[in-house]
Amino acid sequence: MNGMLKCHEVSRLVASEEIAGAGLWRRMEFRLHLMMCRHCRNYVRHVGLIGAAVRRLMKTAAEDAQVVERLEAEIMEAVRKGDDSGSGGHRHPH
Amino acid sequence: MKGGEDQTTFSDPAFVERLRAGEAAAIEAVVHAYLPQILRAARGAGLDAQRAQDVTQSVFLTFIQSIGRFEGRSHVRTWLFGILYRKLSETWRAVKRENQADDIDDVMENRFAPDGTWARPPRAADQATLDAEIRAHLAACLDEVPQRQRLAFVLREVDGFSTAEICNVLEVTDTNLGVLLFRVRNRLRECLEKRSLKG
Repeated sequence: MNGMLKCHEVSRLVASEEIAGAGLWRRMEFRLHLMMCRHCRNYVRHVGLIGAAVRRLMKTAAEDAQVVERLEAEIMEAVRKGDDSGSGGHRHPH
Repeated sequence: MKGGEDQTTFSDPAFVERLRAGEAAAIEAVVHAYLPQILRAARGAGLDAQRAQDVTQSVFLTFIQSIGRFEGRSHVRTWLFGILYRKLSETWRAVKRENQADDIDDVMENRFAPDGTWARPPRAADQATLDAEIRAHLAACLDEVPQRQRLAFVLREVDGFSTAEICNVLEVTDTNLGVLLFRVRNRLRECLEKRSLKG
């Protein structure tokens, strides 16, 4: 069919997320293409699985609470020291 | 969206004023809310644990020093991640130029026939196989991704930033961000497929 989306364009719309901002007609073409094309369905599935896996990886690899606590304490100590020395004139009245 | 309450509180002009005045309690609230996210993003961009901690500390110290210039026009989180991005990109300058043309674009072009259909289609596999393959190779494949693409990807997929916020942090247009995301997703997909086929 003339003007139909091609696989090449589908992959670009998905990976760049352009499909999210596409118009209604484009999104309908996109859905229709996916219904008919198993290769593009596989591609979309791979992209989704990779995103989910990165979320899992980053969240389980999140720094442990002790590191976060120590960094927070060090930063706040620097803030209070800055206050005590009166540098920057940022002392707040309350 | 995650952290919805904090997002609202931190946008409040009264809170922004307290921050600008350098009030310790206001700064502490921001540090407490965003330090874990900044640390995770630094790790996500490819820094090792120690360097990620150093950069995180440096981001907040710069934030505190420059707080008087914060006008509340962007969200405090965007301001913080902008500082992170500038610190990270100082170490990337050397590699930036070679990223202008990216070989992943050619790899993708070669996936398609001239009529726009797949010449080498993505591998079909069942869910369990794909999950296992991704789990086995994802960390190694992430290491092959240029840092700027990694950061864009992490902000999008892990932290759920909007397009506008990532564009603001990375100082790129919508179109540039689309290119970054296109490249990182395809680079990861190609790498995973190649490694899985090798076994």
